[in-house]
Amino acid sequence: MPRDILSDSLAVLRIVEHEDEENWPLESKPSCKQSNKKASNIPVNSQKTITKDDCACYYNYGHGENGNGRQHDPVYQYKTSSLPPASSINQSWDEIVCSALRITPEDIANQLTLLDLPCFKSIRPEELTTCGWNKLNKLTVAPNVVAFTKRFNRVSFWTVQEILNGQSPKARAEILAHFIKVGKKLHELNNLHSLFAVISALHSASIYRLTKTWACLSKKDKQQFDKLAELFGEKDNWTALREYLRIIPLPCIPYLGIFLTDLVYIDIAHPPDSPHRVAKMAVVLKALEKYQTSEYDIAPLPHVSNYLNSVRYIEELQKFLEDDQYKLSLKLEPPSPVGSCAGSKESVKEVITPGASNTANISPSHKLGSGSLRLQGSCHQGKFIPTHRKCRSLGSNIFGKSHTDDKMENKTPAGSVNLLDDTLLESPSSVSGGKMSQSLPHSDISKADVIQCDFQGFVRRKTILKDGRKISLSSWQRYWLQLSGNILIFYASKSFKGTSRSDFREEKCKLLCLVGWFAKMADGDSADAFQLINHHTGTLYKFKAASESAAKMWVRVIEDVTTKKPLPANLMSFE
Amino acid sequence: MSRPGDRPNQAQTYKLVVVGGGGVGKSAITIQFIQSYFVTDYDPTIEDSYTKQCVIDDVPAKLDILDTAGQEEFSAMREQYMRSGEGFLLVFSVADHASFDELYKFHKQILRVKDRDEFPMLLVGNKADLENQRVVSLEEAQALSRQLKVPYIECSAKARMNVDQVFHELVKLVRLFQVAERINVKSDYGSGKKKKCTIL
Repeated sequence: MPRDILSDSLAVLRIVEHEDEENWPLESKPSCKQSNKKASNIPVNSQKTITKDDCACYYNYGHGENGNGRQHDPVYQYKTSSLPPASSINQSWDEIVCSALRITPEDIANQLTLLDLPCFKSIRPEELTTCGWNKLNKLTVAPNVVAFTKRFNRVSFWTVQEILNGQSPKARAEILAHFIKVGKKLHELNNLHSLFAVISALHSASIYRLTKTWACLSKKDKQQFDKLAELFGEKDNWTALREYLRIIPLPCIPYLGIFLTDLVYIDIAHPPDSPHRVAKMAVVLKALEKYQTSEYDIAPLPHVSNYLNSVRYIEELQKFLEDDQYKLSLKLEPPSPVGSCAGSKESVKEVITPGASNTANISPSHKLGSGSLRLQGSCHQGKFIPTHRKCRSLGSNIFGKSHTDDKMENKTPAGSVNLLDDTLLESPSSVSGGKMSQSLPHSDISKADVIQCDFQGFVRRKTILKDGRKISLSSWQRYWLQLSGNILIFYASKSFKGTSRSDFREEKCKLLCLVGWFAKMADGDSADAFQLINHHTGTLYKFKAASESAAKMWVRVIEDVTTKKPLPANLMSFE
Repeated sequence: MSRPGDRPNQAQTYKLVVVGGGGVGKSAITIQFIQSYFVTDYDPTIEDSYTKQCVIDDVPAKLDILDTAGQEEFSAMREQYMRSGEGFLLVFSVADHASFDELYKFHKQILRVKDRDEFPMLLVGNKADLENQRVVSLEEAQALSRQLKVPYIECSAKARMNVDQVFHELVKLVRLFQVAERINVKSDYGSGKKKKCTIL
């Protein structure tokens, strides 16, 4: 029976390949092991009792009616742990596709392009020559220009909203990275229209100011974003974009805006009786006409386009929605003295070197200057470096601090999200562990002293499914694994080889509470392999032990723990 | 007004952004200023079609004007180009009250993007030549000017009235602001650096 559910979810979710393991740095980045160890000390987040309404997206645009599908979403998983999550596994695609993260960047880019193309091609020359697309009668004189423009705004608005739906900086950074990948794909497709919409969203006040989120972004993604954004710099009359449009091969969906500006200027500079007017406008129209012959060979994916089409709002309310997004942005990352310092530094730069390349200067990823890498690091380890405002006020007593966080959170579950930003940087296992924090006195775990050990040994672990999503680029990670009570303790490796205890670090890097998990031998795989499965969270790890007998032993000892009711006694002795 | 490290004879560049609703005559103001007179071979697509060198208060300046006329409805990209602006013209038409009402929104958006309580801006009532079609009174505009703490100026692109003044006034505002910022920056810089030390 559990296997049925599993295979179902696999079948459905195979489509949604998780391309971006990097966004789980605790899972795959060796450089983060230090922070793993520390982050695992603070499993407070899963204890949160944020209500569905709190964490459901602000407006619920285009999302499943009841937000059920959210439960697949790693961002939401631990927030909604009080809701029955297993039910969502068998849902149809329409219900499942309710967040951009659930669709590969390639599919998003492809389907956006498929939606943009007919809209772009339907624009008629008369709509352009009358220059009436921003007049009161725009809907009658330039309906297709208006529709195409709306698509731009919608895509941008949706991008902003999706990013703001992430509750922690890290979750938002994951979505941000996802959209940068969408941008890359749009660039490959020469869809500059939607690409600019996505870039604009990342440059919007609501997203641009999220310093903590940008700090969590990988260097590679930042560079990618800067590269894409460079194309849309308004410097020297949009030279970069104009040059690019000149050399770009078909098919291409250009950004219409600069053509509209050119037409407005021709309209002003060459009044209707001017002999040059027609010829000048013809040059612009001809260029657009060429792009309008574009054809894309892309297979439609109805579930994706339905989702993308469902992102709608009433245009007249756009201003208010933007205001709301900005308020949400302020709530997620309140302006801080440190933040405004960064902001003023940025403008200092602008003031002092106003002639310098602006696109480069204004990129939020550059806001952090040369220290961005270090800051990125400090984000992962945020709690333990006295840069965090709260940390500063609490001194450097790490354990005391995590306790305080815990208490504060209980008092103000909704409002304290920002204070807990860094605590949300939990290890993946604590996310999927779900109830771990309820039973785990974390201050004890954090002390590297004698721990009761029921079983231990060398393993390799690979993540197959995480929060219902298939991890396509997962790799084998080496750990020293200890079972203590109902908790699995992971120790990261010191080097690339070695299977004895001394080859692994003394500090714990991950904890996994076995409540809700079950272990079995991996059929049809090598004999030394076993699996650890959590059906509630849709997470599946594959392990390889040192030998077949060790694997069997692991399954048996884990079974012992999980089939028993988790005894408080375990924890007591643990303490 | 040359910036540090610059050759003294090189004029500082000012990035000025013209904002305002569709049809308020933004492009007419810009083109009047840039071209001074309409030339038949004007080409809006070339690199320097929106730059102009001039001397303001005896100091040379290069004005780089960003005017997104025609792209007003692409509202989502507005914040991106606002970010690079050092001074803003908030343009409305005295013959179109809706364009006047809209400026409040632009003003707020600029301050938001700039993360400032104030920023160099100039409120510009265009089409002042259409006196018989005027629906926004001088008093009304001045009231908004006081409310937003943004100076007000009326002009007419068509009659070429006050066009140069609009841009020159804005450059003066930008200069004042940058001097004030630089002073703030200097006093700020020490503390900023200090903070950074604690970070690292």
